[in-house]
Amino acid sequence: MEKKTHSLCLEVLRRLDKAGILQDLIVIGSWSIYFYQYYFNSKGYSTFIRTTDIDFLVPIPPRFHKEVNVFELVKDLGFLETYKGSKGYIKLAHSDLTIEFLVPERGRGTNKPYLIPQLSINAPALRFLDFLIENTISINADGLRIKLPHPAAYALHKFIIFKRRTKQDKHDRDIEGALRVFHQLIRSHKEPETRIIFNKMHPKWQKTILSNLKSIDELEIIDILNK
Amino acid sequence: MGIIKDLLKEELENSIRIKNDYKEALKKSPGGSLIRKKIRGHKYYYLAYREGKKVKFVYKGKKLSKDCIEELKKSRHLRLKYKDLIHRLDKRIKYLRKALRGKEDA
Repeated sequence: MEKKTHSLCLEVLRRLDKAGILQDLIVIGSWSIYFYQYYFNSKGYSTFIRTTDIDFLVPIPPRFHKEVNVFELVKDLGFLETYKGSKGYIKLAHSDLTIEFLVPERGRGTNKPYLIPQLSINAPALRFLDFLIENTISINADGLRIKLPHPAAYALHKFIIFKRRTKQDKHDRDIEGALRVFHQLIRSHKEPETRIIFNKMHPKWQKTILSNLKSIDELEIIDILNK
Repeated sequence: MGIIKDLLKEELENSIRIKNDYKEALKKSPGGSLIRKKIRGHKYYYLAYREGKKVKFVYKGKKLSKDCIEELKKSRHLRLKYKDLIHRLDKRIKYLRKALRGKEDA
């Protein structure tokens, strides 16, 4: 990761924190892998990430204490408000970092963006994100308190969704990231926590995870989860 | 090798797209510098900008509100920022195109 991307990301987080909304957001996606270093506190853990996208998960219904125009908050850093696809999902794009907001999809789902007027943005709704909201941790990084999915939830979530990816690159990235985090959980003796989170999942999801892991020959992980 | 190439391609596409977005934003945001001219003892504000070889002055008024001055300053700052980022993106695009032209090992 470039130094510029890292410092820009921290600046964005600092501004969200100052505006009083960071506490209500969950950093998901590859950036969580980076921030897990503050949770594991282990020298052997690789924080390398290959993406410049930072995704924020917004629990719904949104409960922000303040109304903040996120775009105005970061505009002077060089971010542009861009609209993605025919549905007009808002992305805040910069040459070094892209900010996107996501919400969990519930019920039958919809392909329309979910409006978050408190932040003057909208967000696509995606499946399985409620599972991440239910299992979070908070870490202290560079003077900021950042909410992340529990590493076990992160890895298990990736083990569900990698099969749904249409792009090979994203599919491979999901597996690589999930395995890296999972192996670190084992090295950090977090097996019991991981199993608790796995056992809390819907049986159908557990079955999907085990079958997905079998398809990539991760039999050792299956054994750990089944213990 | 395929994964790395796909990553580079994705990065190149992203860089081109964001560069075009910055160019669009530059077109939309008013350029130029705010200057104050003193004519016969009176002060007048103008927005000065270059159009080809000529420098044009657009009259803005005798007095400008603080908000207006602040807005123009912000716009100028943003234009400079966008230009700098476009410059950096040009370098990145050049580098990525060069990397993608490289031959793969058999």
